[in-house]
Amino acid sequence: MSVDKKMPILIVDDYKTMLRIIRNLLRQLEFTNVDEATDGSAALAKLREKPYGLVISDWNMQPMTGLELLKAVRADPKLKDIPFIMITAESKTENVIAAKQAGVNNYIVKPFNAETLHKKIAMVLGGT
Amino acid sequence: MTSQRDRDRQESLEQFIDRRLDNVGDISHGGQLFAEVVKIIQAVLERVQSQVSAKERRIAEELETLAGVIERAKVDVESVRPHDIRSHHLPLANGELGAIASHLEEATGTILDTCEELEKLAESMPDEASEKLLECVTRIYEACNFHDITGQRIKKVVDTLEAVETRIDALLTALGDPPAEEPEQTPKKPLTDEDLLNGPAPPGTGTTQDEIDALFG
Repeated sequence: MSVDKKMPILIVDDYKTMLRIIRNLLRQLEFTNVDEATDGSAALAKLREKPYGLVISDWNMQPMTGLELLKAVRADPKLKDIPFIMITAESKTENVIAAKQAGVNNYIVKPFNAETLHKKIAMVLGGT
Repeated sequence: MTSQRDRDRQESLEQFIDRRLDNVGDISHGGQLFAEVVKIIQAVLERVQSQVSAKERRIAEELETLAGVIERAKVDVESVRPHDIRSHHLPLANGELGAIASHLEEATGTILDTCEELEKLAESMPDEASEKLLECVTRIYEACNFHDITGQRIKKVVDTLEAVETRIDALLTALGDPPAEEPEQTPKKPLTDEDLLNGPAPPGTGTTQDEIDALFG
């Protein structure tokens, strides 16, 4: 199954450097329709304004964390089916389990490489 | 007429301690509280010493030891100069960590700017060279993950320093010497060669190259 490379993707991280890195790596994968948010609440507002095909979010942000964003997305009937990838330095098993229980589609631990990002997106979206 | 001392003798030891402890509740200042606890211990000692039972004498000895331990602990704590840690060392460490975070952000931004320029440049290069260049740029992007990770580690250290500061404040207050609102100004003394070795200045506090050039005329 081919993936629409023009679908809107929302990337969420409180580090502007990380937003730039993820955006540039996505561009190399030919995903060019990318929006950014710097915390969960700003991301949620954007998700309610526009239909996104994928959310890639950090966990550790204020005031709304990535996990809270994930739970809010899964609890919203209009957003609940959006694929959601967590990219975070939180690498403890209990974190991964908590994210999985909240409905995350995949989980990437920082630092990550382009190949991992590519693979996880392919797994979540069904091929790139 | 009954004197205070007579009244003290008439009440039981338990009643006497309860009455003195009731007063402690009204004292909010850490130092006063500490002084009051020492006074109570001394008063209890006096009371106990006037009675002769072996059991009570042992209690008196224990209390005396306890008072000694508290006094020694106070001297020990003062000897590590907690005010200096609170007003000088911790702010300095915080400032240095803030400067590290700022330099990291600036340097990473420059690296990413350069990578983006290289990506544009790759578009005008032959396919093989372009592909090789983009692979290199991708590796640099991956390496720039370090900024996020180090930033989070620095934040953990800053949080730890804040926790240490809070505990030092509590300790100073308990010893009756609460931290000053403003750091104490230490009198200026002539700089030694060692004083001149401070490493990089925090952002905005050092002398600029232009200012140095001006000093050389």
